[in-house]
Amino acid sequence: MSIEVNGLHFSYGKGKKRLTILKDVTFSVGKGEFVGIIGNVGCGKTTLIKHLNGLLVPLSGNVTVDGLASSKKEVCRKVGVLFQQPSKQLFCKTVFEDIAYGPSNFGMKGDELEHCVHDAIEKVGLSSDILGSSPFSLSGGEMRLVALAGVLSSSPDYLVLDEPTSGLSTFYKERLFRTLELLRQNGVGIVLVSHHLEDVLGVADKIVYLNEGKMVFEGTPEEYLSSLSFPAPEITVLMRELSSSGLAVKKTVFSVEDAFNEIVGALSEKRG
Amino acid sequence: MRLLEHCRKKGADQVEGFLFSYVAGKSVLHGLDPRVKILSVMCLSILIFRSSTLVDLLVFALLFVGLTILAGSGLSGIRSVRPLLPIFVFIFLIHSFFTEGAALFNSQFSPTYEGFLKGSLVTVRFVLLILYGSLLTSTTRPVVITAGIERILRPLPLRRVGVTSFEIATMMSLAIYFVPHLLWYAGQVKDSQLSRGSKYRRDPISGTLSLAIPVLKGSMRMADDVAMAMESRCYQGNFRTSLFELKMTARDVLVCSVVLGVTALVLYA
Amino acid sequence: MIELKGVSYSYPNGNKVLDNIDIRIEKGSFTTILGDNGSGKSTLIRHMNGLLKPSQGVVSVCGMDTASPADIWKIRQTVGMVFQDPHSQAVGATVEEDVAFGPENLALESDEIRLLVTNAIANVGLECLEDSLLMSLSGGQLQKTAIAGVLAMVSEVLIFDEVTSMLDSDSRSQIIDIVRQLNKRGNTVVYVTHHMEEALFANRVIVLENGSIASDGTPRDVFREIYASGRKVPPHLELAFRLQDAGMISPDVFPMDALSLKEEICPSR
Repeated sequence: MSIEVNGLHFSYGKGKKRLTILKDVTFSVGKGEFVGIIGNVGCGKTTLIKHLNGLLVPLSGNVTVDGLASSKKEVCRKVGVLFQQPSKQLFCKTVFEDIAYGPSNFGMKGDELEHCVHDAIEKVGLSSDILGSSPFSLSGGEMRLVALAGVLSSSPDYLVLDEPTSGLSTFYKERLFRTLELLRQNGVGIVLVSHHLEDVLGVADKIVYLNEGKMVFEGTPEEYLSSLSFPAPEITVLMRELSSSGLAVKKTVFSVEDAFNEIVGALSEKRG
Repeated sequence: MRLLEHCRKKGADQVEGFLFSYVAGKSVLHGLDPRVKILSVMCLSILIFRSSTLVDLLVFALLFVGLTILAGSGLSGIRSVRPLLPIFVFIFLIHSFFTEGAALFNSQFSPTYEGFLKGSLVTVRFVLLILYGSLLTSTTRPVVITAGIERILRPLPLRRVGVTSFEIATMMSLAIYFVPHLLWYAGQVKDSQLSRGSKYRRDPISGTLSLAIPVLKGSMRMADDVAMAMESRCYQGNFRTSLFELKMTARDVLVCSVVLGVTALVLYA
Repeated sequence: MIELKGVSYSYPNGNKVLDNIDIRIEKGSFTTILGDNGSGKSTLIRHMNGLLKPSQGVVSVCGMDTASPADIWKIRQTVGMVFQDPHSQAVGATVEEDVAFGPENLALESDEIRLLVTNAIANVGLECLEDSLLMSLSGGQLQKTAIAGVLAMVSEVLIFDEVTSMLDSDSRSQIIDIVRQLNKRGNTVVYVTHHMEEALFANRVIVLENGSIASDGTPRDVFREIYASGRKVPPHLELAFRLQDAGMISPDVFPMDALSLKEEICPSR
């Protein structure tokens, strides 16, 4: 049971104007697995996401979800997608209607629907008081969590998030990651696409690095950080610098906690 | 992201190719005041619609060829006709088949000779209108056309109906950005609805309806934001100047009087 | 320059967004307003050029009260504002036209507008895109256009409302560079953000929480305070503070980035 992406190619336009967006991308997302996709603007992240739930059909290669081709209509229920800009994916009169949009399309009604909506808003850590208000009266952070609730209400088996932390302050960011951790524990496969390295490296089981549409790397966060040719978080850059100027610290560290322990250890040893 | 930018660019190209086929140049036509050009296109339109034989229209076609060579803007005008081709074919066929007269072929449902003539006449008229319009847009920047329209409207008593010529001109330039942006926004909402199980693919009609309402509301929110941005840049709507100030030269006056004179002559002589 | 005295603001439905705010923005300063989503940042700065009027209290810009209709346009010219969404503050079809929007509203002569527009566009580095249609630009380029738009109005105070929050990291750092440049050249800057990293360059940081001022001081003091209260600060600062607390590096340093922290820990000879 997994999302399998196999030799995916995608290009746009014809002839001289042809623009290749994805070249030979291959990876898989298992249940309960957390995959981080890292890449700069223009690396084809958004296009890749649209392939995962069948909004785009691969030109060559294939994408399957639990063995089903991604063009099958069951797929969009199995794979929930949170797009980058929440203000462009909320479209109903009230928060309630917006969260209920997915499940009611899949035929849910009455008490069950009501229950489902309350459940979803609880999962993302928002109060059910806002259910009656317009989604556009909310702050940016709340909007994004509501959009997430709108995806979760259809209880997808896989969740794909496109730059979910952009424009989000620390408070809402922590909430978001708490929700994701909970989902992962419940066996939901998660794909997090972001250029904020710290966000991805801390939580992912597996990292996929895309550069100009090409998959350059697939492996664990540790392996990613040990390669010097990929973009690295600030703390890792610092550790590399320290190491090259002679301080005995581990170079693949990216969290403040680990960096602190490493530096304190190395400095006290050095200063005797 | 790249795909998205690409789509926006493609949209931009289309709008650019269709409405704003401006080709930079230094010809006499480029140098004319936009008001003179707008007025001339209007006069020519009247004359084209008044002409009743294909020979008359041939004169206008030749005039067009002459002006195009003078403008040196190449064939960009012809391209602007292309998207409308299906409509022209449709108009032509409707006239050919549904005008009473002598049948061309010996079958129950045949185009008539009179219909054929009338169809050609109507179609050629439309084509010529579009061509002259594109001659205007290919030799005048959109901004300058807007400025020209604003100046033509300024003396009219628009204030009585609650607008100013400045407001109309501003709306026109806003629309050039806003309309393609709105289409892009609609695409985003549609993607989001599709991923949440909207029935769009199975039931396009109700799907489109459920897309239209949020997009409409979204456009109103965007309009609010734009209005605030405009207000914060001191927009008042009742008076403003333009980066492109229009000045009538002797040549403009000459062209203007020739065009008006010929039009009057044809219409009343 | 700008002074807010006892400013409170409530929405028509009674929700209180700002509560008794006192702020004085000095000429030539660089102030960052930091706050979570929904802390009232945007509402606060919209008082600074009269887009919103306080429910209680007084806002004055260079001695002019924003509540007096006579001064409002002068105030908006003095205090230029760039907004968050690059797509909903475009007010023209092309870059040039958009930048000219402000000066046109100030009813300047076209030669003067031309000069202002050319200068403003050069200041944000968009010279080669002067004639481009806005809809063909990326978010970062649109945001630069918007900045040029306020520069062309010769505003003394520039307010940036989360201008980078919808941009990718490359355009983000370009925009920050532009803002810092402008401040160096003498513009007073008020920069609103929720990215703490972006507050490091300011000479004053104001933290807004639930509509009131939680802290106000130099970046160094404010970040210390935030850190002491157990909340997140940028990673390299958190590391620096911890090392300082453990006595590993000098307590006086305030490193701007990871590399200057490295120099503290392990100076290169």
